[in-house]
Amino acid sequence: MTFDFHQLISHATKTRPLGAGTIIGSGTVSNKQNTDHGSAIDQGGVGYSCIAEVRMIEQINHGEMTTPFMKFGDRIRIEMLDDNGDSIFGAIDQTVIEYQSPS
Amino acid sequence: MKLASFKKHRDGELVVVSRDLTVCARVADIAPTLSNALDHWTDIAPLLQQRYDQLNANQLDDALAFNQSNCASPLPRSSQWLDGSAYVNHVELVRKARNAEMPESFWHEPLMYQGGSDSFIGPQENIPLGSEDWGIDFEGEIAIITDDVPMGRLRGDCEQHVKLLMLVRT
Repeated sequence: MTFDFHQLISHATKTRPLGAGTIIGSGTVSNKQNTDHGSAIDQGGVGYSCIAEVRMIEQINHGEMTTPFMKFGDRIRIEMLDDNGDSIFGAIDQTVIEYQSPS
Repeated sequence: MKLASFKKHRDGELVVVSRDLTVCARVADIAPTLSNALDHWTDIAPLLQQRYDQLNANQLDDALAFNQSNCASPLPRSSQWLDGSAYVNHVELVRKARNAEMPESFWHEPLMYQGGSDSFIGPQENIPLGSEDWGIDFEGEIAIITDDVPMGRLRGDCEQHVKLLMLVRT
């Protein structure tokens, strides 16, 4: 992180007080990697935490974006493990589905 | 300590969860919701911590098996959702991909937007969307939850306001 959470709180309170229960996010986790050779996990990198970033690196390296965005039925799983490999927070595990309007 | 909210009403039902995530305990006698607990955090947090310690020590007869699929978002409805852009590498790549220069100030002054926080999708619920043509993406983030923070806080005075940590999918 270029900015820690203390800096993010301080930044937000420049313009307002924060009510109890305010959630502050870090922004998408992004690692400085050697983008010249791709940095997907199957290329020896640490991967990405959003599709847009993969597509940007493809654009920078090859002039076109080839990784598609998500389709209905695709699944997102996010989990943080401790040094023993145990889940700290539990998992976010969600599937993208087509919205059905109530009839 | 670890906390979760079961799906119930708009604000969920607060429970404490064991360190290994296998069991949980109701805390309705302490605080009905996480939102309520945060409003009175100085008084409530020690009581939740005590229940959490008892749970981990197998001292609670009414502990329940913890099933993550019963959970709502930890704070299902929040005062506000402020999303920073603390991983500036991501912002730099976005700009580079469209041949735009990132302003030098981005390394010193964080970007932040204020987003909707009226209802969050639960951690193991589906994400309903209208069309695949919209370019469906996600982001993986870390987030904190604060107590009341006065305006104009300096960085060095902010640690005390970080009350809880969680994962976020945006």
